[in-house]
Amino acid sequence: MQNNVAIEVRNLTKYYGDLLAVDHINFQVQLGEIFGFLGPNGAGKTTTIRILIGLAIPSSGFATVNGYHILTQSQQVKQGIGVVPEESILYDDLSARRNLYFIGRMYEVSPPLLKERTNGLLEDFELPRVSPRPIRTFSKGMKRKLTLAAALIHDPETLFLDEPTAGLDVMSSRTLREKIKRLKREGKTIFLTTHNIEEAERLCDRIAIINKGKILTIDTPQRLKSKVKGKEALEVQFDHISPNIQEELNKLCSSGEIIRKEGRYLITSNISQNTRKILAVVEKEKAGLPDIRSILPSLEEAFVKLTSVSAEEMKKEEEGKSG
Amino acid sequence: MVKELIKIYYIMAKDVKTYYFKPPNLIMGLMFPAVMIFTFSMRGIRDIMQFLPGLIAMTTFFGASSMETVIIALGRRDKSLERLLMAPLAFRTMLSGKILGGMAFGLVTTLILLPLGVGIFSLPIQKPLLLAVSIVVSAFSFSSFGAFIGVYPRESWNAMSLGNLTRFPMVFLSGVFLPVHKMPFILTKIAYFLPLTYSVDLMRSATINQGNILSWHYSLIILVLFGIFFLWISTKLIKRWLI
Repeated sequence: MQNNVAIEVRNLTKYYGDLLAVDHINFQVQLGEIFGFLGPNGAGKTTTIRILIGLAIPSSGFATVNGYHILTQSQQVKQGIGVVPEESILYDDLSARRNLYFIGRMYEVSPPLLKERTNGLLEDFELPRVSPRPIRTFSKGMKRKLTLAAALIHDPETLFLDEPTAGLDVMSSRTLREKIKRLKREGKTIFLTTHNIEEAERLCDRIAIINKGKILTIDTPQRLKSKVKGKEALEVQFDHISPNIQEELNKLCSSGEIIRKEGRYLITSNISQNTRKILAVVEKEKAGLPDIRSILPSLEEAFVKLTSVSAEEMKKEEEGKSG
Repeated sequence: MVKELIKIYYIMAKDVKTYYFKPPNLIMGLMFPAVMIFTFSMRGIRDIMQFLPGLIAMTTFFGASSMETVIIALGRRDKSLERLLMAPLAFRTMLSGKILGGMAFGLVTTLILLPLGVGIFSLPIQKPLLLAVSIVVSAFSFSSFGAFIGVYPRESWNAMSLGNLTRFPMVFLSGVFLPVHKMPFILTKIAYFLPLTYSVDLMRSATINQGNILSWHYSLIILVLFGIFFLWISTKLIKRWLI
């Protein structure tokens, strides 16, 4: 693999008839990183994943996964990747154990190794007790865990996770996120699509924001947030406010320099000047130092600014999917 | 090659377990041919001797093709075919596994009804080896045909309708009820393009020694070619429609 690149995409384009689903996208995913693909429904996330895993053919452009060309070396690409599709596509009438065994055989894992891995994964995903049961009796969370286990059965280098926590309850989502973090620690490269902004922020080393088939930006969550200018604020909270401090705060509030919100004060403009003013009064009054912390713009704000899609719309989409 | 064969075997075994050998499906697979056999037996023992070989071919035909069509359509809809294709698996391998599952079902339904025909109606078996080979080759050809019909529809009910729309006319045109040489000229020509025609003729040769379309060697070769053709065209089509 060249320069530690796990996935390389160049000018990838996909048309469905006249509909341009993916529009000349370019990106690289480094080995061992969690790369997030964040965007609203219909942005082109799933189409991109389908192309990379060999379930769709690009209209133009090319990509390599683990150093193999997706079109000319698709079998090698498939051997080196694990996929967690958007829906848990497993065989409902088979038990968890048989599902893992069957999928392992499709990846040419030898029976003794497969037995060992199946036991290990069932243990690891807390499924051994239910493993003889047909998976149609499983909850959505259990099926999701098993789908991730199935993606790992052949010990792939790279994982493609398409909305891995969509429709899961808080606890199941949390457990799955922990597993994903652990996989990264074990050195797996993870390509993750999501429209859960919080999830992207918590898990990803870098995030590509995609909308209407185009990648709008690629950066770390921190840098993406810092791209949203003018939204920084300083939050000041007092244990006890003397009349003089209150008077100074009221003056600043009335001029709109600071905002009072649930007993806290948010300095949103002229941050350093206003902070100095407050601290001067605090010092003069010999009052205890207030709690001061910087409020950075959220990834959500960065996302909204870049895509013009509100976080509420994204949440509705996610609820729609889980419902 | 060995790796491919192993995958084909596991796909077949999975399909057999998850779809085919469930009591309702087995009953459905046996019901129609059994009803036909008993209906014809009402007309007398001489008539049933004429029809039984064709009915055996028809049993293999329905068994190997009908569920197969629905299972492939279902696999497109519930994306279980996609799940298979996420693995390093050629389309041909995937369909071969599916076809082997259909074959197994066709063979089992035939092997349940065949002893009935032999036992109850004293159907003679003049060439047992030819009969065995004919049943296996027919099952392959019909299962491939079932796959071909199943690759287009996305809904199982659509697949069922399309399957019946092609299967029933084929039964009437292939000499199951009326020998091909007694049919009107144009229908005779159509019959030559239908795999069931050759299967019926083979079954007649192997049992009552009355095959009359082609020598059994050619009939077997033609059935194999039909099977390969349907596998090839189904692979092309499913590749086009799935990705």
